[in-house]
Amino acid sequence: MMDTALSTIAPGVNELTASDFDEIVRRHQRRIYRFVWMLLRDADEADNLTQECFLRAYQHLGSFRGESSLETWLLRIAANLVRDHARNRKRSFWKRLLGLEGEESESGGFASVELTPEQRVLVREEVQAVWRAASVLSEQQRAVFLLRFVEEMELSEIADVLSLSVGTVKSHLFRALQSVRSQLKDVS
Amino acid sequence: MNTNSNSDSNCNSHEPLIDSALIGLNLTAEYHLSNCACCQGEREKTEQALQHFAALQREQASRPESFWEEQAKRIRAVRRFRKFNPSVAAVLAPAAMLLLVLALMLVPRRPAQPQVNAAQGPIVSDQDLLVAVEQAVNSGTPDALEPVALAVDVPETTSVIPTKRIAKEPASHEN
Repeated sequence: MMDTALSTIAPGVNELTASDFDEIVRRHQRRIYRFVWMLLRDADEADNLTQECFLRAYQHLGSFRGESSLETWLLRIAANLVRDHARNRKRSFWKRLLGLEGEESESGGFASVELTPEQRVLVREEVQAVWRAASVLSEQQRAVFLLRFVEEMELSEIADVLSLSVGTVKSHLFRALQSVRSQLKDVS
Repeated sequence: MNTNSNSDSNCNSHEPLIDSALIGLNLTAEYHLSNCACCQGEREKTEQALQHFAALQREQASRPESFWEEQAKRIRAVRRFRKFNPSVAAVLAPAAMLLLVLALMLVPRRPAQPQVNAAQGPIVSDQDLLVAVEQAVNSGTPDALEPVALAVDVPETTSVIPTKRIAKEPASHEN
């Protein structure tokens, strides 16, 4: 997928005006934020890292060679920021996950979907099973899993974002799906 | 591997094919699933759970429009600040150093305590001063050269034994 902003930037990055960059922020901030939020499960941190992601992108626009889409490049910066952040804070995904499960139970989720109470219970169990499956994955496997099934990215894009080979991405996905199906067997 | 199996008992052996189909990897997997109700059911179940999961993630990560506007505004502001202040640290470091030097200069210094001569001890009155002068004259040794311990230990009333005599007195065993 070729980004339209990319075609504007690629010929002469140095000619990028402030309003061009504002447009890039407006266009990509939601996805970058969601990606960071999914990995960190912390709204404030996701906000901060999204901001930092765009600032770094602006600072290093000269290094953007247009080999990938602008969004992939931004996601790569975000992935690096999340990795550094996780290293620095040594936060436990398990703790975040437990926090999330409580949050889901309270809100019920799916405000926009019409579900019967039985369906709602089943869906909640399914979602929790998927989270349980994700929790046993490594951070990299989880990132691959989320990019594929939430962000619906192509394998090559995921490989590009996380600086992995496509083969590694595939093996991470197989591992993730095994875990998901194993957890789903317990859900009636 | 028989990819056309319709038997439910054989389904477990095709789990990798279900995963391949879910990832969207190969046609063999699609072919098997189109002929195997069990694997197709497993795939649909997993797909449905993943879709619910993804929908919930997107819903939870969604924010009101004002949030995005505010975030964009903040990014613009910080970007401008950094642009006009390329290296804040480079400017702030010398300023901080200067402030530190000024602070050190402005801190009031404590006046130096006059050192009390331990040999003499504090002289409290004129009378004591006169006695001390008399002792010094009698001893014939300037204060500065008088042994400290001797000057301190000798009581005011006793006269000081001349140092020369002590030094010249031969030890008894020499005789």
